[in-house]
Amino acid sequence: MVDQPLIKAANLVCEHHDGTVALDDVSFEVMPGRSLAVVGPNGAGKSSLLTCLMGFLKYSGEITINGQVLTSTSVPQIRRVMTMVFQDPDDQLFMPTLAEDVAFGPNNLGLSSDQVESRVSKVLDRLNLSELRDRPPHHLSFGEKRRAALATALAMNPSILLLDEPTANLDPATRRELAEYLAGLDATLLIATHDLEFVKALCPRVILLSKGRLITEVDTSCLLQNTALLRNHRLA
Amino acid sequence: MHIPDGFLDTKTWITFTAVSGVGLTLALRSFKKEKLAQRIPLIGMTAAFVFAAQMLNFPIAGGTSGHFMGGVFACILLGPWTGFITMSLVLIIQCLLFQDGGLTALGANIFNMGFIGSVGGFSLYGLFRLLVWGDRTRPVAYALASWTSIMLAATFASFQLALSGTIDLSVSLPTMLGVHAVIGIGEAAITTLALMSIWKIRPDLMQQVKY
Amino acid sequence: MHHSYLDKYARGTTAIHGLDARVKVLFSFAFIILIASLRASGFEFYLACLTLIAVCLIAARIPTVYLLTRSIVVIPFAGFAAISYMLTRTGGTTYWHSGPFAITSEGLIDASHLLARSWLAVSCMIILVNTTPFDQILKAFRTFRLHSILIMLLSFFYRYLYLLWDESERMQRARNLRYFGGKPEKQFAMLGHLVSSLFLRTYERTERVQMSMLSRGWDGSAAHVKLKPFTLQNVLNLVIGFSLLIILWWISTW
Ligand SMILES: Nc1ncnc2c1ncn2[C@@H]1O[C@H](COP(=O)(O)OP(=O)(O)OP(=O)(O)O)[C@@H](O)[C@H]1O
Ligand SMILES: [Mg+2]
Repeated sequence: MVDQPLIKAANLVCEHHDGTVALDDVSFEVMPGRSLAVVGPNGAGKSSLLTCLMGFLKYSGEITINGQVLTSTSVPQIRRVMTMVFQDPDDQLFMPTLAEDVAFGPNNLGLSSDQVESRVSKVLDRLNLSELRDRPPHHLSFGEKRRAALATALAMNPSILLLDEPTANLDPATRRELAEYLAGLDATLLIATHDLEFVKALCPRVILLSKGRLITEVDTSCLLQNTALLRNHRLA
Repeated sequence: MHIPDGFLDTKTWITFTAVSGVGLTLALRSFKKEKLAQRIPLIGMTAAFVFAAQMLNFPIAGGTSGHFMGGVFACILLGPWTGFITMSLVLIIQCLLFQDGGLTALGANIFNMGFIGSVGGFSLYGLFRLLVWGDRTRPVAYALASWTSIMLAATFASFQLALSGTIDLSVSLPTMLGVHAVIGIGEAAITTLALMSIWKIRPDLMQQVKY
Repeated sequence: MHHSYLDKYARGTTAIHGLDARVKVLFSFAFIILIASLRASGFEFYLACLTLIAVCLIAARIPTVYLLTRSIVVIPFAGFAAISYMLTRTGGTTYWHSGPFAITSEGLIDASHLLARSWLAVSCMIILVNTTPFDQILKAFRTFRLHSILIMLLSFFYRYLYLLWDESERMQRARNLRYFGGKPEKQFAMLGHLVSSLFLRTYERTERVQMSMLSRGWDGSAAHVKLKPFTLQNVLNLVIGFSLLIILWWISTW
């Protein structure tokens, strides 16, 4: 059997509430296990693309996630298999303590409290956050908050994970560890970032957006060699 | 005008705790379940905002500084019931974490500032909207409503103190009103300026609330 | 004042910190209610209460200076109220009088009772929040059947309070960098802008927070919280605590 794409977007046009057109006629596919990076200058529409895929923006065109068309009725189902880590970890961590925040998603999946507890400990353990579990988020450093935000998403056991600028403000060692960790996951990733090194480590394919339009979709290695293209789109 | 513990007698604080408790429960119930749920982050965070805005203090004559109460501000932006819930949250946290206002006086404080002050001041604004509404009267309505909200809250606080036999109304009413007439001017200035500037930047926020 | 100051000692490790939050909340609230509902009581009662506060303070390793500086908050209102109270009481020896006002021995005694009571209540609350992390206080409320939505709202409040507080401080600092004083009306205008931009930032953040909740499968119900069982030890502690309160009450009737 031929693999079905996990994410398929066709002729996607989407605008913000105030009418700003953030994406204009974007089409691409993500195959299982083939993580995709979204790169482009500031304001290109990367964050908008991710929020649109999560079903938060009105769109026209077609989005299919895991075989299901994205509509207001299928959204709850889709959010069980696909989740997102937002650009600002302070938006992601809203519960009084870290452990409760990580448990928030699994609780919404309707798991029993023992199952939730074991998921939480496992995720916190793997991200080296066990000692911080009862800390309130405002007592964490930025890097810790980043990892914590990732933990809250991973506790959902998603098969598709959207990450918005996961390496912004991280020190080089933390960034490397994050890349290693993400590479070891089962989930297929869609990463919006400016960090080309990070892309090289994780994603075989890249799409380049600029001013809401899809410029090109290429293999990562090709993109990195094409300095003219990178420079034209403010990536180098 | 956060009343501390010990200033209200038992009958008064129990009465107002009951009144505010019922009021708050009704306000929480008045939302359809889904609608309130949608607004949880909005209400909780606006309450935190009111609290943080109260940290931006302004100088009043004589070295004291007044701060923003925010009741009318919250009601105008979120609607009166949501505004009432928001102000109640602020007062609960101020009581627990800041010790600003006593535990036994919490009901009375919620009644004065959260309900009478905010919703009462807001009604005046509603009246303005009905009678004379235009871009000219807008700032006047904001200013009057927020000034009145402070005065109303101070009046009720004086009544409660008198009812408890702590301070005679003939003493407390003039002093409380005198002090708060000045504080109210600061409140009115900030509320009006802030609302006018929101009106300029995001007019959509002020139109979307159905009162 | 910086916000870390509010519950600076909440995450200590003393025996008092180790007590169950529900026991501490019930005890403190009962203590405050007891103090607030006694109108007149003798000197021994205040001494006993003060001893209790001092013992807790030492056992929880909270510096006395901290308690004293934190409890200053009562002064503006309590001071004003106590003075008006003092001036309008009559009875006992009259030291001074003018028109309807007088300073009498009765008035002085009653006013000092008033101040003592509100100070004791405030101290009790300060000790409570400095021996119990706030999230546990909220969980204790959950056990007492407080409206679950209200608890969730409070926990949002607490979470974002610190963030917004920092934000308002940063904004004030950014303003002061480029601002060198001016007329009062200018100052107010500036404050109005600060307030409105703080609100707009908050508002836009709530939209993002809500997205992050929804993308983790939230359907709008109150968050699930796991509660620890109420053990026999807790019951015992509570009985000891309430016996103390009964003793205090008995002392007050001397
Ligand atoms: N909430 C919003 N309301 C209106 N317009 C918005 C909103 N968020 C973003 N935009 C606009 O949509 C366009 C795309 O923004 P987006 O945030 O998706 O860019 P981005 O590629 O993520 O940029 P960055 O690299 O700076 O994060 C921009 O022109 C931006 O001004
Ligand atoms: Mg972005």
